[in-house]
Amino acid sequence: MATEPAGGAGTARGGPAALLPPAAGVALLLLVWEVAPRLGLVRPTSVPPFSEVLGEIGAVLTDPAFGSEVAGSAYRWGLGFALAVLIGVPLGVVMARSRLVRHAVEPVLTMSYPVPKVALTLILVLLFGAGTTSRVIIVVLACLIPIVIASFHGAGAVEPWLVWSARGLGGGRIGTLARVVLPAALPQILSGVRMAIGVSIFALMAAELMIRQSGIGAYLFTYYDHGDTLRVWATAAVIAAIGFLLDAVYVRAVRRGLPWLEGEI
Amino acid sequence: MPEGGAPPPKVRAEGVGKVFARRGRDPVRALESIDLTVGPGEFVSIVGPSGCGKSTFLYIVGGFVGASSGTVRCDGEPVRGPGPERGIVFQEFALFPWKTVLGNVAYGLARQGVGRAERLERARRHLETVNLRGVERLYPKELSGGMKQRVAIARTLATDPDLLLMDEPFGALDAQTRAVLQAELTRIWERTRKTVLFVTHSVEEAIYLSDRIYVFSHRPARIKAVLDVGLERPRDRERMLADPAYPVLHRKIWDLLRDDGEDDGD
Amino acid sequence: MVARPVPASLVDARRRRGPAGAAVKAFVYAYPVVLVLVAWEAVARSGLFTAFTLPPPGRVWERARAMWDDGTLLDASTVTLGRILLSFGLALVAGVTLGLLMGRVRAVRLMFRPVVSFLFPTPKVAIYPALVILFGLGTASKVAMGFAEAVFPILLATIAAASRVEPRMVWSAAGLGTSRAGILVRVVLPAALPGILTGARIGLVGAISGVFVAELIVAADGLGHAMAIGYRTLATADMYVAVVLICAIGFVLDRLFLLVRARLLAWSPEGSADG
Repeated sequence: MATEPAGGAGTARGGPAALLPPAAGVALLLLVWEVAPRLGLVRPTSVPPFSEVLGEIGAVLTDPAFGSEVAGSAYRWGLGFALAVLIGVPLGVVMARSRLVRHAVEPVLTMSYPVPKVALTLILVLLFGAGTTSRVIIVVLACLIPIVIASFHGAGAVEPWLVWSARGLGGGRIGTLARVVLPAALPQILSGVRMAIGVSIFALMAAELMIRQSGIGAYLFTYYDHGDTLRVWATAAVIAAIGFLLDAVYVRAVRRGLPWLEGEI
Repeated sequence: MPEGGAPPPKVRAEGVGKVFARRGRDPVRALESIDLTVGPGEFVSIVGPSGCGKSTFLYIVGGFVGASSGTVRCDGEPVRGPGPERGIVFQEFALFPWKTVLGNVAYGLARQGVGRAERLERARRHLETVNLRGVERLYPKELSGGMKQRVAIARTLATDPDLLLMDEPFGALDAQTRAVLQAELTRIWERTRKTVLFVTHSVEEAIYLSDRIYVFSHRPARIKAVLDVGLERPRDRERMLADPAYPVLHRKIWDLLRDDGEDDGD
Repeated sequence: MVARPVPASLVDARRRRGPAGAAVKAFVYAYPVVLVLVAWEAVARSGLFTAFTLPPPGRVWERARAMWDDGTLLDASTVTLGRILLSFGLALVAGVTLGLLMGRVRAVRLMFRPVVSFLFPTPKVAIYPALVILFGLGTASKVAMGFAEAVFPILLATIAAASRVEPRMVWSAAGLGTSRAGILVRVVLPAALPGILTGARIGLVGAISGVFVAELIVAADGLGHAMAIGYRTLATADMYVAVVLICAIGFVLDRLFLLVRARLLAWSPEGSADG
């Protein structure tokens, strides 16, 4: 085992040689995926080789049914996500600034943090039906905790002198929250939102896999029921790619929209 | 090169240079053609302006950082990496926060395969050497800066290294603690006569502790002068301050450092 | 991505000691439970929903007693709990091992980084049907799902913490005669522990969600399966029993985790405080 010289002396090494290991890592993974089913290490009916899945991905992407299910899921997700931001950010910021709100909300957050929110899916279906409402609620619930916590921490870490000087310059309580505390807390809020995106896509996917009436999850499950393994893997790969792209686009957009932001998002 | 039958020096650095590559910017030249020798049992200090690269030089001798040019030999052997024959003490203490004081001091002995009972016994003895009692079971977070540095010194002494590398070990301490620890280090050194290479930016500290002083220039660090400290041993701060040679030496080093500051326009 | 779980106790009062502190603590824990129960009872009585879709708490409690007495509840919980612990344990071992290597060994980091950064933000549940095809209906596919949900927070936290270990501490250990592999285990691992445990707490919730969701989607046993059966057979009270129980399991596991964490980090500057 070769541990690096600590302290990172010489971390500035770079050039084409540095590109080799990443490419090798990806290539190795894909090679295993390709070769293992062909050699019979796993049943090809369970895991089709990579090349076949790659070919099937084209079929998934050109399937109009898939497109419309993606659109439906995206709409439900967008609605829930927007609601969660509109509720979560103000709640977190107010929590940081008001003892009363903090003491009221915090125990609820602490208790509900380890609870799997998606477990409520079928209950919500009982209460609100299998349509849009229950799925939007699931997305909101999944997003809310990371967003509230990040906003709370971000706003709580704002230097008090910043708030005092803003109040001294003649801003009302609400105005100060919106104009001073919110921007100062933004870096943390944005990383909480990033976490929320990941968690809520998981929650929506899980909910749609359970409800099985419409949405990408239902699309995926239909092919599972038909025993079309190839289509299941290809669809899963496309969904994974969508999740990855959404995250990448979010990070890009934040970097471009807020160039003054430092550090990780 | 070591001559004939004479034992090789403890440390022999020849033409040591260090360049730090930086992504997208000009590389930084930290050290240039450093020639330095430390004989067995000698106490040698390196003084220089802060950020001049003297610590980097020490890390090269320790084997933590590679030199860009030149060679460093210890006992005639080229340095290829860190080793237990070269103990190091850092300004930042670098204690293991998850180990108790006793666990920290006994750590190196455990790596040498010393049995549990014996290493705890030896660790206790080394804690007494640095005048620490009754703190064995505490964690580093519960100690003051001075106590932490005593533990770090005890931890390094415990493995009985031939060469002690000290990187501004008292730089983070308040003036009083610093003076006490300097006196104790002198006492320990005068008893054990270990070879010490000591980096500091305090001129007074360098004179008080050393047999010889290397004065480094600003970046890229070169050797400006090598001065012998002719003060008598055992050292005593009062006597040193009263010695007419002291202010002369102090002044001389200060002038070397100040010249450097002035012709270093950037 | 900066992962941040809920600090266990931000309420200053909870740090108070003595009987007054204990009372405050009890109240703080009890209040959300009471809140949910009262709201539940009130909505159930309001006639907004039928007793079929929203049975009152008392009815659910009766069902829970009955299911406990005939042993089904205990069986289902044991199965689910076992899967959660197994998937969390595997995720810990894999995430910490790979994370230490990725954090400290450049070649390993470069090799795995593209794969990890692709998989981290993807909804792993999308591959669950594929996992069932691969591993079958039994425990293996549930554990694989829990593992997939748990491993990434642990892995990413470990990489970050391992790569930020104070270099002088590593040098000290090397100077005291520690081998390179020894440094990874004896220095980097304990030094990175606070960060690792922060990720592990998120991973634990991932394992709980992953296993339960997997059982809900397709399974033959377990608490999630019991809930899905309740849904299909219109035994709605059974569904509420399962939800309440998985919430309780999540809460208890999280508390136990925090206790273990406080013990493991007694040496750290934040001590047993949460952060």
